[in-house]
Amino acid sequence: MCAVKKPPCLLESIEGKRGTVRPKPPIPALEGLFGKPTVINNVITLASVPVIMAKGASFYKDYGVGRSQGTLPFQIAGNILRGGLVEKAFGLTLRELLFDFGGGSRTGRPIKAVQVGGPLGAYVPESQWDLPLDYEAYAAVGAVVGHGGIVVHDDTADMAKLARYAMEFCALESCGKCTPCRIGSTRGVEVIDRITSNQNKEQQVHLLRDLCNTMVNGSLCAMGGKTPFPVLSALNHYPADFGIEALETEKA
Amino acid sequence: MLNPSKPDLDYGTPARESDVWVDLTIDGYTVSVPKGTSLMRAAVDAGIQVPKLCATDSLEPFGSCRLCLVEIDGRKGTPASCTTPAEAGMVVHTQTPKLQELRKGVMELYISDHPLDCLTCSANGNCELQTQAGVVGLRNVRYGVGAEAGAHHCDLKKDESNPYFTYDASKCIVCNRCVRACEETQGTFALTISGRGFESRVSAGQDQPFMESDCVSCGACVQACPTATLQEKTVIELGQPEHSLITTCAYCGVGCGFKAEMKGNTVVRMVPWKDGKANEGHSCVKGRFAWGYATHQDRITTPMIRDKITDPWKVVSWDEALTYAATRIQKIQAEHGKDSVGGITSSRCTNEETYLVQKLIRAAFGTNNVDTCARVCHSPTGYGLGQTLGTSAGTQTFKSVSQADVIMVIGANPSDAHPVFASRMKRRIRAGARLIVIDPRKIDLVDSVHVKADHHLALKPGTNVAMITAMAHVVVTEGLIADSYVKERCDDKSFNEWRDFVSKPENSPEAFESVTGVPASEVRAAARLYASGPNSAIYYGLGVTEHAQGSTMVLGIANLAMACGMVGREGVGINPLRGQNNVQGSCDMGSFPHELPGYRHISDTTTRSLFEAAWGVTLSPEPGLRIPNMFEAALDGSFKGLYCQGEDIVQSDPNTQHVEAALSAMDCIVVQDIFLNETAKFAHVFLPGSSFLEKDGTFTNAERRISRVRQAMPPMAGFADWEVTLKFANALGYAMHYDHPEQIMQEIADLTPSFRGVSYEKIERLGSVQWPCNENTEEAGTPIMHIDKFVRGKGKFFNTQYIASDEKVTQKFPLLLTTGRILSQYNVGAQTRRTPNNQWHSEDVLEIHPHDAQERGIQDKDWVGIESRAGRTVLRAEVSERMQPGVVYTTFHFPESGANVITTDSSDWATNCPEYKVTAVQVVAVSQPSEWQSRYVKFSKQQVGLLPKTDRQRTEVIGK
Repeated sequence: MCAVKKPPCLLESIEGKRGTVRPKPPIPALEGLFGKPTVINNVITLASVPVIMAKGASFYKDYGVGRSQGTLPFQIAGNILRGGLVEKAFGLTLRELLFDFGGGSRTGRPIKAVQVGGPLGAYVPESQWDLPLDYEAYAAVGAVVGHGGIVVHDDTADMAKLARYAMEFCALESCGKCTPCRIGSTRGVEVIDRITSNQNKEQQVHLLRDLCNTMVNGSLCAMGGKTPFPVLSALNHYPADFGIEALETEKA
Repeated sequence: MLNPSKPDLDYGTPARESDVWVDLTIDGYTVSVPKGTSLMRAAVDAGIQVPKLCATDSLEPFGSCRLCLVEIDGRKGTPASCTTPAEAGMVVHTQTPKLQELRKGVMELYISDHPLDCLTCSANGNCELQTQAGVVGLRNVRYGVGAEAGAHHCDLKKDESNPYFTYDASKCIVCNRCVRACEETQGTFALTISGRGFESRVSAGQDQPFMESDCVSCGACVQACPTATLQEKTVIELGQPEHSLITTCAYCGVGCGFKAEMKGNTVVRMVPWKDGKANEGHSCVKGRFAWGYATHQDRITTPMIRDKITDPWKVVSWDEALTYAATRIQKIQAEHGKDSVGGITSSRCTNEETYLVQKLIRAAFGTNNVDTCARVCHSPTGYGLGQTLGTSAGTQTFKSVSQADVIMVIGANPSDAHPVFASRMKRRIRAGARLIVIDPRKIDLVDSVHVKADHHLALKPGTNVAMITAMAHVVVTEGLIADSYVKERCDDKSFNEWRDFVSKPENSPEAFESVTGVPASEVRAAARLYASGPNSAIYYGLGVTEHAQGSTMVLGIANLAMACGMVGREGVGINPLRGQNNVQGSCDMGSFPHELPGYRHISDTTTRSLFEAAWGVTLSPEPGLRIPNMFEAALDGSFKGLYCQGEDIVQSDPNTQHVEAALSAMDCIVVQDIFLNETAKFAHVFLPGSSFLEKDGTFTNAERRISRVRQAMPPMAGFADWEVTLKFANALGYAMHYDHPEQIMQEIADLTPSFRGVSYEKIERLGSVQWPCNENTEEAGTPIMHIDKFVRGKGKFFNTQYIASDEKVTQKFPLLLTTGRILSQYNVGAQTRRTPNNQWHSEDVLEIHPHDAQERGIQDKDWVGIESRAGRTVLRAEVSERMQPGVVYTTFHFPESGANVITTDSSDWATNCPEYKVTAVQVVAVSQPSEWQSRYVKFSKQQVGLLPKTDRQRTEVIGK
């Protein structure tokens, strides 16, 4: 994923400017590319259009659950026996996707953590694999359905390393405009390093949570705003990997 | 009036204008703002300062620092108040526990990558990062700071390449204010952010030192920078100022308002005044940084006299010098008649000072032989606009350009000569206004960053009138005349005659194509564009006036503007870009041989009687000598004495050898100036003058805006210029007494209808006023002129018959020389050559097109001899495509270039404004300086040697 993929960056870049995020308001639908009303959709959304045009809105709405209507081609990848695209209506569970469709891990070892919703999605622990894959249900537990990306990790995965990777990824991709992401992502990597090397651990864990709060609420776009999802979910659901005892779960 | 230094209130985001107002509640306080105003600004209106770092009210909101987050009832999240517009009924909270934590979190991140040397940092006490850290209540940086934290920028090296400011990347918080200032305020786009993410750093050009980039050193970035990252070197050296006063720049006719920030009598820095109506917080390199000349070691601070110009100067007391001058002048008058002496007023000194000089010449000398530098620059404007509209001044304010739809620039290069105005113009062009440039040169505006001329009519020098007549032909024959406007507001008879005249086939673009060298189709397109408006504004400069047909061209411009209905409201108008800081004022004050203050003819008995009564003398009704006439008369033997204040005719007037001969033939030349200028080398009495920092008074800019000049330091010579003139008058036996320039302005106001409402009290209260200012106008005067009708009543048209200049290209002189400006040096360079601005331009060069250079075997940087029928000089060549083949170009900032040795006495038929813009020349490669230059160097050295020895090292300020 390149930095210029985010819609606000994309518009700037197409206009010939540096690919940084433009603030909202105004929203692109009102004032977007070259100041004109602009609708930005990704491939999945556009791919949903033909069936709705052909068969009608009701047909489409018939699939799914709650407010999550239609289908989604879930992308199962990572340490999975049978990876690929599985298009199903919203509402099935992650467990079904992992085992009925995916066949469990490729290594045969127990699945430890599943990142749902792309690189900025939360890690979903086994205790949550029976939730229906539905936008609101996932959001309620601090997880993300997003575009339906699913990456599977077995029990050799070090969640602290993965959390560090999330911050590192953010630092690499950051456009650099807003402070929480520009400085926060780099500092995030350093803080996690201090945690795992046992330097001032209690304070740094506290700092990490504060940093995630700043990034979620302060970032200009979803890049910085969602990076805390994998980080906090790793910290909350897999504290042992960080060398700390299970603390009260804090929602992202 | 001295003001203690404190930061101006910053509203965070620009003001918005709207007919619709929105009511909302912020922290329980109700506030009403125009629709489109940001929450941040609405909060300031309510008296609440939301913490901020990347927002400042001169720039569009950016939303990057994330300090200004607020909470809004009914909306989730914490939106940034700078980018969120106020909406009716909003209930906003600027301080909550959640926001407190977020702001601390953001600040903690900032400080983890920032040097912790506040106490010794040059921004100590005036640093927004410091202030905001205090505001958010940061107590602990748990990341560690700098190397402790991990990655950091605290060791980055400074860029000190620019002579005036330092770029210290280690302190940068990447707020982007500098980049945005360079884009939005200045329009140069020299800065960007290099690198991405954490690596982001401000970069001039391609990570180049500032001096090597496109940076024009306007300083907008320095002003915008909230930390010490971009900092004035004077502040680094001296510390923070403790008081300030408002004054006006002494360079060009934009007349930027400045806050002189001081410690005691020392100017620490000049900061453009936010409330200055001409500049609104912006400036150029000269006004902001190049004021050090005022205390340069070359300043002469003691009166001096000598009998012959080959004698050494003798330092004497003021009384002795003035008595000597008065005696000599009066002796000349006794022998040769009253009119054998005269004076030249300064267009750089204040209105009050200029008024006193012309009063002295008329009342104490008893002659009307008084003139000013406007003679050689905008006198055709005075004539042309006076004839057509009834007032010889520009019709608009600078701000009016923001309403223009079509902008036509004729014979001017605002990017270099009126930079702050050019920034406004570029801003408007980036917003969609169309641009027509009529100029032989490919000036910056023709093709610059995000600014491109729709039409560049690159005509041959000397063919302006052909061009404007051709355009008029298009407007008339294609039915583009604003019929109802013309019928209602203009004189029928002259309009009909003009219409018939321009319609003739010989005045068509096709007929003139071979004359101007511009394709007829382009001329037609440009004329149509101008006529279509809806708001078309013309801006013109010396490329219009400094011609044999200068006045004709001004008439032509007025004709076109009236015919298309483009005078009398915002966004249109005829705008002469006046050069000097007070040339407008100097003209207003009656510095002309035929006019009393307020442009009233000396032969008009009513006016004359008014002045006679006020001054207690009888005034001659006969117009006196213009400057060129003075030279003629001097060579003739009938003009022998001159009082010249703040004007360097030897360097700035054409045909230098002619001027030198004239001055050498005179008996008593009294020069009042701050430096030993070229004219002073021919003088017998030197009266030390005062710079703009050393006096009180007023300047009038090109907008007819009268602004205060305030004394920041005591005059180095002991007296301000106006005091010297008073003393001189008294020595001549004509008693003049004023306690303060305020009283002089009072006298001017009493005697001049268009100034009747002007007073220091009013200017103090309103900031500035624009004349006419009297009981018939608004209190602040007249921003836009000729609103319902022209000052003369009905606008008058004049036929503009094109007559080719006498300066024709011949076999002997096959090229045309034209002259102009550059950004860093100013006019004769007396001020700017004595500042680090020399780093940008240390000598005048001759720009020559590659074709012409190749034909003559000339390479870039070769010495070339330029010869005209007037004389010869040598300059270094710069091969450039800015000029068209057949045209060469130079500036006149350095006296040793002798640019005016080559210019001739060809001049405007109505006003004698010299035709600087058209001189037929030949250019050849040479290996040594010209004869004039060798003589000049010898003469200059000799004259400097005649100055009294002081413990200060006297240097001849020559460029390379």
